Amino acid sequence: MATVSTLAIVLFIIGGVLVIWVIAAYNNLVNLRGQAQRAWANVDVVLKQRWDLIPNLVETVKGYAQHEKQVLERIAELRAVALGAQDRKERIQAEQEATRLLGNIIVWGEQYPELKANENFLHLQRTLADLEEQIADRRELYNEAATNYNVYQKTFPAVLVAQSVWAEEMPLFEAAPQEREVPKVQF
Amino acid sequence: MRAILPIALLVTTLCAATIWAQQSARTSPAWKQQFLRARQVWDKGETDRALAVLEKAYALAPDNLARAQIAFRYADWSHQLGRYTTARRWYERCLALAPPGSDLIRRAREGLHSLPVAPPQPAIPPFTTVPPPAGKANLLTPTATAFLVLLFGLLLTLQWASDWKREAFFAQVILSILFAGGIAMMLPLGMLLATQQLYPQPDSWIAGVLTLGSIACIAFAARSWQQGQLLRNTPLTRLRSASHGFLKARGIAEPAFGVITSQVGDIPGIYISELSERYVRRTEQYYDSQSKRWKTRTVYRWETIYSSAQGVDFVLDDGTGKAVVEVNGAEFYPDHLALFYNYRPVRSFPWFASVGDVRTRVHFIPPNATVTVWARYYEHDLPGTTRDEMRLQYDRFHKCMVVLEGQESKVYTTRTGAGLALAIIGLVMLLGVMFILLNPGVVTDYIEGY
Repeated sequence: MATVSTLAIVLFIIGGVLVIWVIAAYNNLVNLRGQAQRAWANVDVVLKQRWDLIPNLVETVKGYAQHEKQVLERIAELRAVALGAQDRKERIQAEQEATRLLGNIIVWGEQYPELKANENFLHLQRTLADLEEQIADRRELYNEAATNYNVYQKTFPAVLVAQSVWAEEMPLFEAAPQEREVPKVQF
Repeated sequence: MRAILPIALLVTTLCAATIWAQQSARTSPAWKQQFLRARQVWDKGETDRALAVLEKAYALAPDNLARAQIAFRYADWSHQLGRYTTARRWYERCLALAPPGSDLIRRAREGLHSLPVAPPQPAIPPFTTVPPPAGKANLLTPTATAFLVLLFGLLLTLQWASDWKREAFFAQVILSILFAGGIAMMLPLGMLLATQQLYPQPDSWIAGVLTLGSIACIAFAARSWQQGQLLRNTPLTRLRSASHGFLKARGIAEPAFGVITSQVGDIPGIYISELSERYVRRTEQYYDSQSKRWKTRTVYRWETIYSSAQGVDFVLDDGTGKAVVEVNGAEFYPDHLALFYNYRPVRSFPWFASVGDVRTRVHFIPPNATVTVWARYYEHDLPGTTRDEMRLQYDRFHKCMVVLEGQESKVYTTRTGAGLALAIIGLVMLLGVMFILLNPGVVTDYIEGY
């Protein structure tokens, strides 16, 4: 009888630890997903503010930079894609391309002197630059939270819980292939 | 694939342990061990304890032949002790259990005939069928049923719950086994409690404590090893190009928020760990097991009179940028050591001490020392400006922040050493649990003997 009691106590402790571990792993997963989603929501707010500027910016620029019509059209397309995207990966790709194109628009001021003299353009340029800075900061926070979430999902033994439930890898803001190319310098 | 390998290893280890336990039990059954131990105890002259051990062996005996052997031994010893009534009862029990024609029947009859004539005893119920050891058969079926019900219930929930992964069947099976197995393993104790069949003895408590300790040690060892790997694999980052997250940075520790000084020697530093001890004479009581009496003795020892460890926030300058290091939660590895004996600086402590002497050790990181920091990097908006302030703080995700002065190998060695030591302690505890399970009553007997 003593043996049965001993075995029952030992099994109880091992079983309790197993159950607590499964519950803790699931709660950790929920917590990390919540942090990543909050970080994404923070990025999303600023990204939306940036898209709100776009119609005004396009209208201002359109009259001066006739040769850049294709860029403006592409930005309009990207806006539609980004605001209607169901998938976060698709959204991130659209946002990253938009960031690159908007960076070009900001430097048009140097190419088109009439544009540089336009007060409205200068105001939009400053606002856009501020927003880009905020986006960069929040993007880093999102990348950190998403990386933590992704790493936790892949570590053993949490991988068992992550694989069994809803957990999926969160996409990151990464440099576009064209941004990774080393610029050629000629003297 | 990465997940499958550890699982396969775990399952193989569990199977091997089970087979080993079964083999051990087969070659040296518990009842036999108790039976042999009873002889040793009897030879020591502890007759009552020997009979108690025999009773344990009787409860564990798997068949009637074993029970008959034990009953004969019990009767024989009771006979020698002059307890004729008990001896008669056990001789009769032996006769009822022994297989027909065996030598035990002849010897038990001889024993019965040699007993002095006693007044008539009440009839003893025949021992033709002996109930199996209580507990095992009663617990196995409901536990197994509960396990299967839980397993399939959880598996179905995981398969059909909305927006959960239906294709991850393999992972869901393993998770269900772990969870359902965990709950099923907790059930026998609950059932024993409910049926009032739980008899916790020192064996049970010690085994429980050892199991908990073993799990804790192995968990901490795994965490220590994991952190060691994290620290080792984190590359050195320049602060100028750092991004949010865990990193390693190396630079000068500038005391931008002041320094702290040690109590002894007034040593300034961004981190001070101080320990002062006094050599004292104490009279203490102790229990002498030889004479079984309490006695007094005089002992000399070092007693702590003051100890503290504190750090202060500082600025890390690695040449490309500066970051404020928030040391709350940080683990420090200083490289400087100052020794004081009777509040005077010394190179080493003397071999011999007098009562009242005070020795002090001060570990510290001086201002402007070169330090390596593993921490979470983040940028903090400075209010009223467009500038960001770079900061390093305790990483809550990795549960880690280290400030090191000197060689990096110190951190890795500490982590590896601690992990290895904890793993060994955990495994020894686990072996202890298995030993107690395979030798029932071993702790109780040891305590009783002591």
